[in-house]
Amino acid sequence: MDIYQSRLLAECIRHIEKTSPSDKFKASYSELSLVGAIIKRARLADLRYQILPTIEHLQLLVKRFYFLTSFCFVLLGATSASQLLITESKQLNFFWVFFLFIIPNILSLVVWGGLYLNSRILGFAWITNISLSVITLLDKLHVKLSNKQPYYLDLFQFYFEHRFTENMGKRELSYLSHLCWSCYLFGATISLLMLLATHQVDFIWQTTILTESTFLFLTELLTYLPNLLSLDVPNSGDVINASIDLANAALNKQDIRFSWANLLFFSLIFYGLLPRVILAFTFYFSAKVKRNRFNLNLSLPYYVQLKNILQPLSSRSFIKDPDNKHNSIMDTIDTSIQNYNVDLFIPLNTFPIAIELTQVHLNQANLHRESYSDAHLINAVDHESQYEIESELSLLKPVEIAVYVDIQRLPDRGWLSFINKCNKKSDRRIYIILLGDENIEGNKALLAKFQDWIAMASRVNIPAQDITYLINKREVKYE
Amino acid sequence: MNNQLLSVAVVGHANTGKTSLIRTLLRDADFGEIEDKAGTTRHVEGAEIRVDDSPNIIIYDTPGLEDSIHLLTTLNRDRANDNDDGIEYLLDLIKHEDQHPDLNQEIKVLKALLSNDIIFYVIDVREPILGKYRDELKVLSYAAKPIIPVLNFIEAGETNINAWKIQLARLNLHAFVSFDNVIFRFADEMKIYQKMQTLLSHHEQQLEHLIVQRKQQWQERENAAQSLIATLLIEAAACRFKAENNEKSIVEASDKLQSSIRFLETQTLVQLLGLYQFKQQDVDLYDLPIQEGRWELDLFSLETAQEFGLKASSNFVKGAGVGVAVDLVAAGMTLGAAAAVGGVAGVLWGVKQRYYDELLAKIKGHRFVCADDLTLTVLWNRQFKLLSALQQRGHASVSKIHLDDSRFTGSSLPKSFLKWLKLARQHPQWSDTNNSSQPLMTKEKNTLILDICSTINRN
Repeated sequence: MDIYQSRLLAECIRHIEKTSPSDKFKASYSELSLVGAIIKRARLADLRYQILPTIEHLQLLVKRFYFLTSFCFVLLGATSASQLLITESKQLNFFWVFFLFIIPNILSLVVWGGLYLNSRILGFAWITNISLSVITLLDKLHVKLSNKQPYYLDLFQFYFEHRFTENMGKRELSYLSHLCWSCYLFGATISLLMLLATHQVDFIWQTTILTESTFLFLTELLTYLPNLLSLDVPNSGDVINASIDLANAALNKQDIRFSWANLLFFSLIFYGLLPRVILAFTFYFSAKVKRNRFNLNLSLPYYVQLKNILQPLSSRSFIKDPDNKHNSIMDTIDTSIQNYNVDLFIPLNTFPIAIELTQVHLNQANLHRESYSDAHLINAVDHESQYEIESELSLLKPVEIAVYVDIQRLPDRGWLSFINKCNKKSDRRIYIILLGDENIEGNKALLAKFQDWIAMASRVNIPAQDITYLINKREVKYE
Repeated sequence: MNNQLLSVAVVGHANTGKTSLIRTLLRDADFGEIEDKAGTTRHVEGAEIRVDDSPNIIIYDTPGLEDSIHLLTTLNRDRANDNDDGIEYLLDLIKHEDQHPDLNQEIKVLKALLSNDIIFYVIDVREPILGKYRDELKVLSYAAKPIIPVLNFIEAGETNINAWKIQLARLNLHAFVSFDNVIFRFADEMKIYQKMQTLLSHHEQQLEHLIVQRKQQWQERENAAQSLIATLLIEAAACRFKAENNEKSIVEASDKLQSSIRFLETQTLVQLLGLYQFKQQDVDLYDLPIQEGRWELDLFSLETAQEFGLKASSNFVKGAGVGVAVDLVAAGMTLGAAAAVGGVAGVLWGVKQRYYDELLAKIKGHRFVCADDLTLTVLWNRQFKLLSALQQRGHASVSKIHLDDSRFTGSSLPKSFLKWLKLARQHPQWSDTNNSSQPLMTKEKNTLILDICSTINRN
């Protein structure tokens, strides 16, 4: 499959998937460029959608259409020349031939040039539409067509729009136009050649409203090039002699016939067929080059989405240093808050500790501490304050400890480690007083935090009954 | 350019948003685990950020430094020689890892510190400055690696930002960046890479390349999103259903219209989410308050007349082309006449294609039900609201995007808005739901989409 075919397949897949690309076609795209990845994905997707045969069928359809059209135009040219130019009197009106083949050809070239330069007019969407209507009609008549490939009509519409509109369409339709004219003129030339080879005809001219000088001027114009090439073509005298009344007057009739035949074939070939053939080849190769240069429009939302799928900003994550020591104790702990002690009683002389409290909550804790202890409440916020608390505990050896923490803070291993240090011999009873500003009831976030604290406390054997929650009364100020 | 892989370790206290930061930088909502509790990340997890189809940066997520006080105490206590530098302290502790099972997670962080080029230290600025954070920074300083403090949750923690900045400056950390996992700003992300450029001069080109590509990708997405919104507007405006001139038929047509426009909007929503790599469950979508709109073809409106004129001339030319071909069949006998007839036929064909449905409806007394201006204005504004929400949403966000049905004033609309609607309504073939047999005029539709997008960009 060549690059154009691959890109066309990708575009057809886009057309089928319409809005959002499917992420089902998994493969390794990391080593490829974006276009390469899109093409690889398109090939994978085709295994599912099976549209490549349809694309090839449509391409073949275009080729057959071109061939059929060419054949028809060859026949048309041949029949036009054979049936309408020869009269019973075996006379051939040279200027009628000229007007019939060369003038329409030149006019058509002018029209084509105008259309080609005016891209707005040359939309050709109507050709697609007519073709689609015809195919739809055929499809209705032959239901098999749509059953064969569910995307056939969509693809047909897309393919013809792709090939016969925009810039590619200009080249394709120009090629088709020149091909038709080439075939028509070729058919006419061959037909005339055969006719003149097998019939003896006299060349004449007739007119009602044009003057003799017009024909002389036109002949001079037409014979300018053949004269340069030293071809035997009619001179002004031959033109005058070719008048219908004088047609039989000339003495060297065979030479004159030959020179007129020369001029006829020269005009048909050099003023008609050759430019058309050159243009047909030019636009054939131009269309081919355009096809080979056909690029996917990666700024389309579909491709931007596809880029996210095929080449995400990041590649798959990987674990570098795995956790092998995770225990599932936390998962099995009962964290229901039903057992927490709403009216927790703190015995007298319990040693108070604050952990990472803000000034507001430290004030709240101090207020509460006054009810059972005169000890100074140390706030453990760093290594020094922790050391100070540990020293106090070693010195005073209290049996009970009250730990004040902010319910909003996260219970972490640092907290756990410090509590363990405070209760090295596990013979102390530890109460946890959670401090907060809001009621737990109906507050899911706060409830979750409460449960986290219950779970963490249980890891140092503090039961829920030894945990309470105090709501800060903002109007009370500590002095 | 130095194409060596640049490695970054993201460290910080527990629950400061390390994984969230990485999710946002990677645009990957599936990276790692996020929970509002400590110890969620328990291993070192890495992912590559790609530039030009190849990995450029490896970014590592690490467990939280939950017990930095104990870690620092252990480091200082266990050091063999007072003259050793910080790296030696860290290496010594790593070497005796088995003796410190309680610091298992912290040692993983230390290994990440030593093995990466640069450190992002994520700070939850909602938190007050505590001693343990100072201890964390001291431990980080032992690794002798460039550190970029990332101030996270800056919207919610606005009151603490200055205090944190002063604290960081005291520790000689002046090159910090602000970030918010909840309210994402693309400029903040760029600042992170720019700070990295400053600190890692030998990777400057590599990072510049990354910055340029990220900006380009951001712009690409925005353009694509605008194109999707423009397409939705056009297709919704073009969408119409024929109804007989009675209430029942009009209600039925209105129902069909509503479901079609909802379908179109949902389709656009899915695409917008896909563009910004979010999932459908990220958005709370409610039904669009569509009102019954009626549109009757105004054959004599300026736009219609202009369009008719253009179509007439273009079809005339095409028809003339057909005429010449016909003429050839007759071998030039009726050259001029055929060309003229061909031209007229082309015009008539174009008129039939364009106005047949409308004229037939007019004769039969049918009408077309289509979305009214207000509905389309709501639709338009909703998409921009959604786009704005998606652009400001971090990939770690767990809350849903809510699109309320607030009405917008016409003043915020582009000047050509009504002109676009009128144009779209005149092209029912632009909406697939209409199954119109008219010429597709895809080129004209694409031109209008481009026009809308350029107007959006200008505004």
